[in-house]
Amino acid sequence: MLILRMVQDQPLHGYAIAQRIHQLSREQLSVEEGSLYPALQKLLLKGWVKASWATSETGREVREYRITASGRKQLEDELSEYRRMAKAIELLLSNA
Amino acid sequence: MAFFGEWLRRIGYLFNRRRIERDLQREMEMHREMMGEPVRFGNMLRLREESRDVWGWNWLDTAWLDLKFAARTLRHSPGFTIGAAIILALGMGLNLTLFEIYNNVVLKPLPVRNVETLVELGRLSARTGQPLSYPAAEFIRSNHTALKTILLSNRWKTATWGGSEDSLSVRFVSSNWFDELGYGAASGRLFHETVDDRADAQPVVVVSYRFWTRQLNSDTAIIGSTVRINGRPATLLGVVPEAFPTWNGHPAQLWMPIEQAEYFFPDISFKTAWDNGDIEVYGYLTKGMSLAATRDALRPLMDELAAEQPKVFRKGEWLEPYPATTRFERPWERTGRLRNVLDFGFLSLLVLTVACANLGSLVLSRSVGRLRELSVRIALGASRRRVIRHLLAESVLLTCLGAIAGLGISYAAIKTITLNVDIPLTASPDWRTLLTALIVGAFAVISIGFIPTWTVTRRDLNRAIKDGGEQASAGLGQARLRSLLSAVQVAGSCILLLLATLAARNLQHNLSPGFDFDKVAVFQPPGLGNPIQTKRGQDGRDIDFRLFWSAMRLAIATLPETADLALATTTPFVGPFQDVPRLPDAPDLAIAVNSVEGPFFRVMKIPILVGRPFDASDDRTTSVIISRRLAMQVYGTLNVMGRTFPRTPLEGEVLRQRTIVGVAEDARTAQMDFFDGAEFYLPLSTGEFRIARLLVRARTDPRALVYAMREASRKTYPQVKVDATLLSADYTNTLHNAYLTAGLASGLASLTLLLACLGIFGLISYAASLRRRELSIRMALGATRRSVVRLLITQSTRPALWGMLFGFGTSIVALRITNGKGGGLGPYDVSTFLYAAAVLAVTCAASALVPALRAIRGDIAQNLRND
Repeated sequence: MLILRMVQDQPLHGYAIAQRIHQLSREQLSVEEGSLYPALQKLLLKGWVKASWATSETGREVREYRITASGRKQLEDELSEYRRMAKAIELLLSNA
Repeated sequence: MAFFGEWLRRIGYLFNRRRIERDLQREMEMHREMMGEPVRFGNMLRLREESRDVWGWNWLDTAWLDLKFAARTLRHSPGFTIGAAIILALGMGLNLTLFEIYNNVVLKPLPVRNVETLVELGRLSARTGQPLSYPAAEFIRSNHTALKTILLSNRWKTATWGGSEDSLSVRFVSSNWFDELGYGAASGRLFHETVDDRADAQPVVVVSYRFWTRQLNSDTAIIGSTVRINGRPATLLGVVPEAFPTWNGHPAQLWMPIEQAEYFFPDISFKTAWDNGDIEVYGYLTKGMSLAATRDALRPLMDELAAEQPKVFRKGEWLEPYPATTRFERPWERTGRLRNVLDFGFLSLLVLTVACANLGSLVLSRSVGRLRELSVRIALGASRRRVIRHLLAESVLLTCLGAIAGLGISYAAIKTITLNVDIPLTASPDWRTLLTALIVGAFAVISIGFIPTWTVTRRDLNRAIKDGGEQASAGLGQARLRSLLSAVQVAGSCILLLLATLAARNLQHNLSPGFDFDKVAVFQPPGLGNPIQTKRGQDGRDIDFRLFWSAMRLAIATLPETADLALATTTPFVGPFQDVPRLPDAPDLAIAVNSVEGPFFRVMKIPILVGRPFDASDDRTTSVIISRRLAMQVYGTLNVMGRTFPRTPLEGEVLRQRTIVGVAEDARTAQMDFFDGAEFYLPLSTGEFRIARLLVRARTDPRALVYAMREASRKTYPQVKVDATLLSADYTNTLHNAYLTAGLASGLASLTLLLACLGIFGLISYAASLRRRELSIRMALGATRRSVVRLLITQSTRPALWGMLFGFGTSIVALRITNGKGGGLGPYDVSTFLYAAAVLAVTCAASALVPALRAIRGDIAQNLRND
């Protein structure tokens, strides 16, 4: 869900995805960066993202991941599910 | 849909995996370069492995590695590998050959045009099925509206070629036969409608491809020339293509237009005889007409025939369309076929089971010997699953080798059969054969790979490493367990071997008519159909058959070659088949009647079990002899002398009640494919002389008798042209396909024995060779060579002997039980048991002797050091 959300607005390469997760979580989420790749392979297999080679701003050749239509739908489903769960947990904690 | 897309992507990955994995590696390296602290990236090798795992193809790499490793292991034991592959190839090759024959004869569609709409019309009444005569078939052909086209053919008939005395099988066919079935000539031309069926058409003949290539040396110059058939000139038009199918099991060598039948057989009233004939009527269904609709549409035609020919056709008869897709098979023929298929299938599967069981034991012994190696691999980090996979990979490789060699054997066997028998079989395997090979292969992998692997890997392999395999192999291979393994193996082989032998004998019994026909010749006035229609001699006068037969009998009895002779109304194998309605006392039996003279039983060597054969005191109206089966079914005993048959009074002359004067052994003298048949015999009356044939037993050579009989008849009664044939030739013609399969069947039991011996040899000699070290120690401690050999042989053969006793004992009990219930297997006989026991005992002793001799040969100290 996190990766899909990162590439929702623009195509990103692996390093950029890791960086964005790191920054947007205010350095709270910091995992072994390499473990991103098996996850990306899973998204490719499911057809939720597509990968293509491109040149980055720094002139490097990078592999960018772009969200697909089915990826967007999956993201929406997962987000609404997450929100529903978070809301339920929040309710539970505040009213307990 | 998503699932489908995912699989497409998976497959896409499989075909592009090298490029995709390269891309992934590049991408990861780039990522690491961009990072401030590359160490936080993680282990790249592991991450790449995990990424690959996502696509689900890793098992393929592992399997490939396992196969490569298994191939290396097998290459290191060439003796085992070659032996195992040969055993499997024999077992699988046999199964595949039998399947290929069945596939060709039954499963593959008949190779003719529009086979799905082709049918044969069988004449049926509520009582029985009967062949049609030519006038009746012509009537149907001219008046039908239900079918698109009708084709006619007679059943097989024999004729002579040129000056030769040998008989060739002939088919008379309607002139549209080849065109409608979609065949053109291999050389020259075949028959055409409106050309060869004209009244003034020249007599013509076409020959089979096999006859043309073998007997006529593929001579193209002979096409268009004049040849002599039955002494009459005819133009040889052309050659029928090699691929033309064998029709209804009778391969023909010559074809002639059916309209010209009387030209080649002038003594028969073929075209006008309504009451007899053997015409097969085929037709193509009209588009959109079902079988049932066709049957109904043809009913008025049969009613018309019944009105026009009330003596021949009864009201209520109909024409039943039998489709070509099931090879025109009648429901009652299916029982016989299924019975043969079951027998053969059971037998060939037994052979494969023996092969696989033997090989499985061998693999198990080998795995036990390799416990140390397996435990080392586990200690080095291989998972138990991996070890199992590796051991299975060896079996898969062996099975593949066996399957390829088996397909080769099957191909060669079919080619050899095609060369020797006039049946066009296709040797190249089709999808059905490959599927069968796959199923047979899977069966082999499971039995030779899975069971031994499971047994070995259940052992404590970790302990085996600690003691160098000694302890663990002692646990598995200790004397008692090893002995048990040998005993079970031998017992299993004995049971299977006996079942195979008895099943093969059962199969041969099905094909054996129950009487001795080898030295019997048949002497009969000729006729295209049966019963004989010849009433006038060549001089135009009526024949007095009483005079004819007494003259002929005298002339033939005085021939030096004649041993015995008798008249009968039914010629075995050929007919005519005279059936009677089923008896209420024996509703399961199809019953045939034959009118015979007293010496008939002597001529045919059919034993009279109780009572006596007919003599001069017997009369057709009072005496009857019944067969064993009939006696047992109706009365439940053979002691039926003086009782009346049929037990319950029935209508009709044939089934009037008579006194039983004897019980004869079962003999299928009427029709070979009647497995559920029985017969009874009536004394031949002089009124039946017109339809009788003379059966003559020769002293030594029935061929000489045939020639002498023809000569004698020419001299004694020149006005009647007669036909003399060998009963054995008729048998071969009638049971052409069955004869071939009987030959195969007898080979099966021998093959099972060979495989059982190979397996037992492998197991015992391997088990004995594992004890080389122990034997060396015994000898180092002072045991003599002789005592060591004796010890090994005794210890190895004892369990085998126990196994044999158990195996044979079980088989005898099982056979007694099945025989008691009338099971499929025939009665066991002592000779089979003794023979099999002797061969197995010798094999057991030899298997222990070879490694024993090897162990005592050479330097003991050297042996000990090497071990």
